[in-house]
Formats: sequence, structure tokens, C-alpha cells
Amino acid sequence: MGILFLIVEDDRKIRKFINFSLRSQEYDCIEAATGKEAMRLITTQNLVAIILDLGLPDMDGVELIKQVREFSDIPIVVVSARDQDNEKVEALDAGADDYLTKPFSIKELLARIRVVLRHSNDNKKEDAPVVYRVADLEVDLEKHKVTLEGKDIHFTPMEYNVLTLLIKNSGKVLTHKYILKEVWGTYLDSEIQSMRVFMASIRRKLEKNPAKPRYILTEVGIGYRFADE
Amino acid sequence: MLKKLNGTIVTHLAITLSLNISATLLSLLIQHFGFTEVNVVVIYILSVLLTSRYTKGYTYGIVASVISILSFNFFFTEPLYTFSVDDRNYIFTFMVILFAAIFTSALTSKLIYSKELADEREKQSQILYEITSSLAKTGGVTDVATVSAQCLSSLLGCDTTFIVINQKENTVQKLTAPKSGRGITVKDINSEDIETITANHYTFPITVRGKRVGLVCLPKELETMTKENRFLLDSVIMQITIATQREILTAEKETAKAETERERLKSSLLRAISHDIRTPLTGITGAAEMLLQKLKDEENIKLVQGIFEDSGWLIRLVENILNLTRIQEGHLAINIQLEAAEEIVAEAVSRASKYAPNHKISISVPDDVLFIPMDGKLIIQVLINLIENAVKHTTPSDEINISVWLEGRKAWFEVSDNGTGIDLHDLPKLFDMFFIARSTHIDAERGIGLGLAICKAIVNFHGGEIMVENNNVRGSTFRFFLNI
Repeated sequence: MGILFLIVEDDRKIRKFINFSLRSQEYDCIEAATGKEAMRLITTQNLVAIILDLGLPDMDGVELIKQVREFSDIPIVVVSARDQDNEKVEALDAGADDYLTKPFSIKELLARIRVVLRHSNDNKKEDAPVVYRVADLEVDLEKHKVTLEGKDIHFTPMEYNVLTLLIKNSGKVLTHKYILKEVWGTYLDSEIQSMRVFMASIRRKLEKNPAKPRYILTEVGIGYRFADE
Repeated sequence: MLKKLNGTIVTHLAITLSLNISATLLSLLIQHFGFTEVNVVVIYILSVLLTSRYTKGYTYGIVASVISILSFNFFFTEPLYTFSVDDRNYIFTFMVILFAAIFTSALTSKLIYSKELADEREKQSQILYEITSSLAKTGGVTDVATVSAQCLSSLLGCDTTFIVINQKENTVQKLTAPKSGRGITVKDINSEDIETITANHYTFPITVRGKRVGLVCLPKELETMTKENRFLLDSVIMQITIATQREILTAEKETAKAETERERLKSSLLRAISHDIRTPLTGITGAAEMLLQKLKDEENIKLVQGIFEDSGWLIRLVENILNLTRIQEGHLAINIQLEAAEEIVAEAVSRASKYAPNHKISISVPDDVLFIPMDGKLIIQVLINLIENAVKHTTPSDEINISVWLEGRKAWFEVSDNGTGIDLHDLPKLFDMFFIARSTHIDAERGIGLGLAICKAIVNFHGGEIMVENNNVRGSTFRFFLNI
């Protein structure tokens, strides 16, 4: 039994496209066109990840995520249109691991899938690394040390917390709400702005050009993602 | 008038005399049965009191008391049937009767006067209430005019004309309520006739926001009226003005609502179509991408590459149209928030470079993070359109520069290239809807002239401005600002 994916999507062509992309990487796929069918397959099959379209004919995609999260940590990648930002954020906060905006390319889809598979493997190993290395950046969690191109960079404790949260989840999108909850411990809309100021200052310490970020990518209207590739 | 006044005097005198005669007769009767004189005095005082009550003013009361004294003197004091008095005690009795009479009649007449006043006031407020409540039930200016004319004609008992001036449609209607009956006659008249009608009538203009929307015309004779009536009439006119104003405002609101409804329908239709186009386009793009991975034959790859690029272009067009419909829907669909300029530019560049992977785009942003209030998605769309336009006019070896800076309260965004530049004739029309530059070379990607027009619409919606100029050496520069 290879690596088995579930594609939940009501549009046949897009389902076929995702199926094709995954098969090209030697992954196996099963398909579901409705939420009900999807639930049946999720509970009966040994799946590795779910690719889920939010606009299903019979149920709300976010609702499906909530139901699945009650009994499983299986990675879920959400697929939706560009003008459905609110739903994307809802889906991510409900427990989805990542999202893709239609229309997406095979390359984007595979990149997202690689990230969620890696994270789900990391979680299983349970011994998270102590030192993260991405390109020229090195973060040592034990020594609380950040070096870029071999040079030490000073971060305030808060900035350091944000950075480590991002780097531990590198490749994954983190919503504003998630970051606030994890680092600040509270969630208030008014705090999003101060978090963004933090992000801008972290970026200025890491990036050569903050408008061409290498490490911290902005997902406008949703959150941030640490680029790991 | 004089006759009427005479009539009242005669009636009042008759009342006075008959009450006095009745009192005298009653007194004679009780004296006959052996009652004392004191009772007679009381009966006379009662007669004076009754006189005051049933006559107007206190003149009759005084007259009545004098007559009563004389009658008492004549019929009941020694010597009988003469006006002379033997006992000096009676002088005192006369004085008491006189004072009691004057005092009570002054009091009663005052009481009667205030009661009449109160009655009058109550009647006025009753009339006002009736008019106000019937005006409240009206719908439309003509209805207000009909009700007003009828109310005024029954209130004042005269022919009443209401002229409705509709400035928007440039029509004038004349509604006349006759003195008798409840009917109303409606007639369309020319605006020139208004002057003749107002000249022959006692006219009150109805004005709403400085515009004359109606005229209430009453017979000329009413120009002289009592203060109370004048006050009542003014209040009624005020009520009519308020009702008319309400109707006009409601009508305006209805029109505006219908218009927005139409606009909304238009843009929802456009959006529904765009949505429906997008779904199959996503399928086409995906299928083309799959084929590109599978195909080996160079010629086939080229064909499919064409399909892939064109469907991608269509998706971007649909994206643009969807954003345009959001602008047209206005504030409800637009979400203005503080966004960091660098994040917006980064997102725009990363999305635009998907379609032009070979072009080099350099970016410069201020050292301090710059937060600008905007709808992030829309400004990203503006930048993508400008970048795509720059890509269209350049080859991968040319340069595209994007910069952001702050100048006073304005955040400037600039997209500059050193490509072919823009034909001088095209510059002024570049941001017009459906304008396609003539200098575009034959091979260039097609356009329907929406991209830059949408940029302008989005920037203007944010209260900013967009402009373009050709560079001194090569290429052109687009820049726009947003207010902070």
C-alpha cells in the first residue's frame, strides 16, 4: 500500500487534474465528490492527507474539517478561489494545514503536499530538531541564538518567539489568529496591527530587501509563511 | 354686522329685564306668604348672578343690580311704591346688593371669557390634529395637495386651490377644492399661468430645500383675519410643508434605491458570469499543464503552451472584471485596512512573475515599514496590471523597477521600465475603458483595454490618483499615490 491521498472536489476536471499531479509523483489517490462520501472514505481508508475543496455541494468544507479534527490529525490542504479569503482563514483556524488558491499549478500543489507530509512525519518522530537551518539562516533553539551568514543577529524576546514559531512550522501558513494565540496568548483584532509591526522589524533583520522576502512570506489577508525551500 | 350687534343687545336686555321681573314677582309671592325681607334680597342677588351668567360682559350685571335695587326700593321698602327710603338700614342693603352684583358679574364674565378661549383653542388643535393625521396617511405629493385643499376649504369655508409644481418633470397641476362638498378638480396648467393665479389670490408658497414645490391659494378676502385664525392657518401651512417635504424625500429615496438596485443587478450578473467562466478556465489551464508534462513532441508542446498561456490570460481578465464589480458595488464590497506596502508589493510581484518568469523586477521600499489604509487585494491588482503592462512593453533583458516612498501624507507607488515606451498620442487616453494602445506591436499579447482603466478606478476609489509619463531615455513610468 503506497501513500494514499483523498481528493474531495465536486468539479470533475479539477479532481482529475489533482489526481494526475499526484500520480505523477507516484502517489495513490481516491476521489470524493461530496462531503458525505468524503467522511465515509476518511473513516474507512488509511489516508496520508486530504485535499479538500471548500465549496462542496452537500456540506460546508469548514464543517467537514471540524468533524475530521475530532478524531484525526491527518493533514488537510484546502483548495478555494481567490475571493474566499474569509473561508480560507476559517478553514485554517478550524485545523486545516495549508491552502491553495485556484487556479494553481502542479508545482504549487506538489510543494504544499511535500510540506504537509514532512510536518506530519516530524510530528510522528516527536524529537523536533534543536537547530534549524534554512539557506543562510541558522536558529539554535537551545542556545537562543540566531545567525545569518555566520553573523549573530539580536532579537527581542518577543521577536524571537515569533521567529521560532514560524521556523518550527516552516512551509506552513500560520494565520494571524494562530500566531497571536501562540505568542501573545490572546486574540484581539486590535493586536493584529502590532503583530505586523513585529513582523516588519523581524523581516528587516533577516531580509536584504523586505519587499523581496527570502524567509518570511506574507499571505495577504491570511497570515505568514516561513519559506523553507 | 351692526344688525347682529343690535340683536345681541336686545336679547341681553330682554334677559336682564325678564330675570328682574321674575325676581320681583317671586319676591312679591313669598312676601305674600309671610317670609322676611332678607329672602327677597337674596332672590334679587340671585337674579343679578343669573343675568351675569347669561349675558356677555359685566355691563348687564351692573344694569341688573341697579334695576334690582330700584325694584326692591319701589316694591318692598317703606314707603311702598315710591323711590324714597325711610329706614337708613336699606341704604346699606342697596350697597351690599350693588357690590355683590358687580363683583359676581365681573367674575362670571371673566370665567365665561376664558372658557370661550379654551374652547377656541381646543377647536384649533382638533382641526390641526385632523389635518395632521389625514396628511400622515397620504402617499405622494398630489395626495398631500388633495388632502390639504379639502381640509383648508372645510376649515375656512371657501374655495381652496393647491398648485403642485413638479420641477423635475416640469409640470404644473392645479387642484381646486370647492367650498361645498368634498370633490376636487384637477387641471394641468402652464407654468406661466401661476403668476396670474397668485396675483388674484392670497397665496402661501410651499418650499422644500429652497425650491418652490407648491402654492396654496385662498380667496383674497382672507387677507384680513383675526390673530388666532392667522396663527391657525400658519400652523396648517407648516403641516402641509412638512408633509410635502416628506413625500418629496421619500420619492427621491425610492428613485435612488431603484437605481442602486439596477446597478447591483448589473454587477451581480457580471460577477456570476465571471465566476462561471473561471471554473472551466481552471479546468482548461490544469488540463493544458498536464499535457505539457506528458507531451514529448516539440510542435504539440508549443500548441498546448499556447492554450495554457491564453487560458491563464483569461483567468487574469476574469480576476480583473471581478475586482471591477467590487469597485462598482462600492463600500460594502471593499475592505479598507492598514496594509504594509512591502507586503503588498511582494505579493503583486510574486503573482505577476508567475506569468513572466524571465523578467527581472527590482523593488525598493522605504527603510521604515509603511502602513497604508487600502483594500490590499485591489491594490495588488493595480500593481499586477502595471507590471503586466510593463512586461508587455519590455523584453526580459530590459529592467522593470518598482519603488514605494512616502511624501508628506501621500504614499507613492511607481512602476517604471526601460522598454518601448508609449506612443505620445496614446498617453492621454491610456486609462480610458476599452482603449488599446496603437503602438502595441502585432505579436503582443491582446488586450481589451481594461487593465489600466481598472487601475484608475481602484486608485480613484481610494482617493488617490494615477498618472503616466514616458521616460527621458527609454520606456515609461506609471505612478500613483494613496493617502495615508
